[in-house]
Amino acid sequence: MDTSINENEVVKAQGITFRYGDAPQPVIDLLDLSLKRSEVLFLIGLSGMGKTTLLKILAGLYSPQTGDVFIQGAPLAMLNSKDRRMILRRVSMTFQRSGLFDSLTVLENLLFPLKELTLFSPEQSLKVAQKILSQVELRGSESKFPFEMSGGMQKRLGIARALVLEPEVVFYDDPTAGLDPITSKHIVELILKVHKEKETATLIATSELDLALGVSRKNLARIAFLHEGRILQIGTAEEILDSNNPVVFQFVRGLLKGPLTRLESE
Amino acid sequence: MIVIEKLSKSFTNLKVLNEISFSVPSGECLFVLGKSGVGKSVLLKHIVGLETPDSGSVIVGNKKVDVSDIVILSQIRKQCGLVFQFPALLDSVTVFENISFGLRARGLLKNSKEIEIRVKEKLSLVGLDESIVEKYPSQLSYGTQKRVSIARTLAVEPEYLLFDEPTTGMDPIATTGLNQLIKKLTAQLKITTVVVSHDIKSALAVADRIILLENGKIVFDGTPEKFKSTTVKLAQEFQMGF
Repeated sequence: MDTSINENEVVKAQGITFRYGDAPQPVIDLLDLSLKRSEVLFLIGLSGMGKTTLLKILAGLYSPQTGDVFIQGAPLAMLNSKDRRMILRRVSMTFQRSGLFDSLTVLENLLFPLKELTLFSPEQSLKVAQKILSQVELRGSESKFPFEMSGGMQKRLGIARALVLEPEVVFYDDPTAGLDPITSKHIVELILKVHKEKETATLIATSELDLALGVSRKNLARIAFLHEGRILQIGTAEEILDSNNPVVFQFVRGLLKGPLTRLESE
Repeated sequence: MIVIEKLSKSFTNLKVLNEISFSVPSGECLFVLGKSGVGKSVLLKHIVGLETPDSGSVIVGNKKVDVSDIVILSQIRKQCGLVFQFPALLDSVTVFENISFGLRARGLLKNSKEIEIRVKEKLSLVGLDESIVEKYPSQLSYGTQKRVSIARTLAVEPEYLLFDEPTTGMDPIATTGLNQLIKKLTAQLKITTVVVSHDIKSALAVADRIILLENGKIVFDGTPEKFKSTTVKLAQEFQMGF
């Protein structure tokens, strides 16, 4: 295991293991992963293979039972709660079902983290919130409630809320799930635009393989394949598609016969 | 056969469906595509009487869907099996109890041996081994949960299968498996299938026919082959990818 920390690595997971309760198998098993500054990385894998769990560990929402996560070189497990909070302020995450507050308006959803986590005056907070709303093209929707918006708009609001504290790292959990191909494309373009403008390190867990391959083919991202708790392969779209690994081969082609379906039937 | 005749539906000021007409012949697998929020699920809900049209009509078999006629509505709902976007299984009971729930609730089968045979038959039909009957939904993968939910729908032996976004959130292997299953069910059971989706790859692989909705109207109606070469802008955008 490489224990050195490259200063270009904004997030580094070293030998992390995570098991839910008394489950016989860990979901994440001695996993190593690094995310570089200004990098976009897609995380793919079978449904239920731990993509969301991994994101939550990297975002500090779950603590691994072994190993550690380093955010800009700072080991989360070794920090006191104050330092940990400070470090995690640089990290943000969006959730698959947006995780918005239903009873708050669009603007209130954005003002909430600013009120709770910054010393901004109400005027400053309003200015920041409106700037972010412009970036995600939601100006004019300030007084709407989440249920009054389309799925795509809710996703954009979730992204806006993740960006409102100007994080240096953003984890996106299946940001296009349930959206049509055209809206999905707009959401990914928004994520890439934010990444480019803010230089945020970006990790996107997705169940939409074609989307990850499409972005990677334009040399805008790499793809990591999560399997049985570890990163089985990491590379470009071509490297993933040309993989000799039978598991990756079966997955990217959506084949019904192969090691992955044997696993399911066991 | 399902016949939709000049169906219109508005929510507040938004006209979601605007005098839509089409029919689904018996045994056909129809995919209804469109952007999120275009009214695909609203259309599905009209077929089972969960929405009331502002104007126009829906006929299932030889019966007109009429929410004020409980007897007819109940008969239509017994003919239609609706598979939800998420498996929507009862978490606290086993696979067997989930699949047999509709049979017991509707009093279709009372003999426990008959119920057991029906549950196992439907599990086999969706490609699952009967050994999972005692498992709980949380012990199954998402793809398997989805198949169990289809087995539950099939247990009451509907004449029409309606799927709402069946492949959303599924990995490529589970998607292939589900697509093949929909194809098999349509062919083997001669069942009429309506799939509401925005998964263009699945539509091209499975559908006999595709309808594309935009701004309350049908902008494309034809075979997957025709869809691939159509000049309809939205259809082209759907196939463009990133």
